[in-house]
Amino acid sequence: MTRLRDEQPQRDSEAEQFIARLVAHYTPTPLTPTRRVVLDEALWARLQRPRRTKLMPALATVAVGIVVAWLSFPGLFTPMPRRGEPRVSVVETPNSVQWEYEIISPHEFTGAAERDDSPILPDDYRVIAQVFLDG
Amino acid sequence: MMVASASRQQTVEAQGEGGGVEETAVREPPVAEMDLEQRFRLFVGSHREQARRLAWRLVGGDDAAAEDVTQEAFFKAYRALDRFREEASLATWFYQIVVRQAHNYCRWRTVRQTWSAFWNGRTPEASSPAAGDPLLRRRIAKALAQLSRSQKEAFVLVHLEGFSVREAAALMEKPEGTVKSHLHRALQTLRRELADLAEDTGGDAT
Repeated sequence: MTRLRDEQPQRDSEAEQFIARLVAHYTPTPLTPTRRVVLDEALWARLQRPRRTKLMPALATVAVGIVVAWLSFPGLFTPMPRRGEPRVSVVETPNSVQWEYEIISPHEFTGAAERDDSPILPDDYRVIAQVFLDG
Repeated sequence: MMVASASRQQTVEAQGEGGGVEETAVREPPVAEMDLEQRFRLFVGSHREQARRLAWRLVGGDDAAAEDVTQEAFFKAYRALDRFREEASLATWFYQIVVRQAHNYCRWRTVRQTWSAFWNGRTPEASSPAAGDPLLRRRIAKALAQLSRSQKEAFVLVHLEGFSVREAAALMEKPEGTVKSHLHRALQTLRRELADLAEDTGGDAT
């Protein structure tokens, strides 16, 4: 950078001396050549790294937030039933086995002939049952 | 400017196998044939020392902090080169980044020191082997830290680093009159704070 002498602010001799002493006592030691090489290499290594987009940290934060929320409150992510529909929840245990259901009649256990003389049947039905089942 | 010494031979120091430093002469291509990286390397080589010295004075005489600030400023300047407009010189633009980076560093250091004092009950001291009396250096750094940001930047840029008022005004993005006012007040405060240094006429300013 070019500096013109007349662009410097006017200073009296005492101020000049004071500033000269400040400069003398407030100056770092110059970089050693070895240190300069180390700094240069570190700078170029950093500059050659691929540029990360500014969105990456934000996206990563959002993703981590969703996972944490899902682990903390799993209910947040289950679909809500519509108004009026019953809430159905299925509890699954690790040892649950797929069941197969079959309708079994009582006479299959006893070996007896199939008959129904239940008193709760109306009379008409009982007559029909006697005709068709007992012969 | 960065292109000033393009056709000369540049001396490159490379670390030798025995741990010593050996010098190798490398002929540079003409500036017009250089790519962006080569030109920026040239720029870094010619401005590293002054940038580090400026940062060192702004962050209060801390070597490690000054190196961090300088590296970060070079990094940001390189990444933002496509946004650089020819309104100011590249050097002015770069030193603007250095000054801003040093300010950010000081701000974060204040936060870190506050937390460190809160948790550990003590604040970390910056250690830095530099020329001169370390005690006096610390006093100067403390006196500079008492100035406002603008006063400190103006004083360091003009009186300690030798920038002209116009250049400092461009760097600080302030009118020249304002910079002169900051300089006057900063000098008054420092002469009052470091009265013994102001009165000392022992001629140790070499």
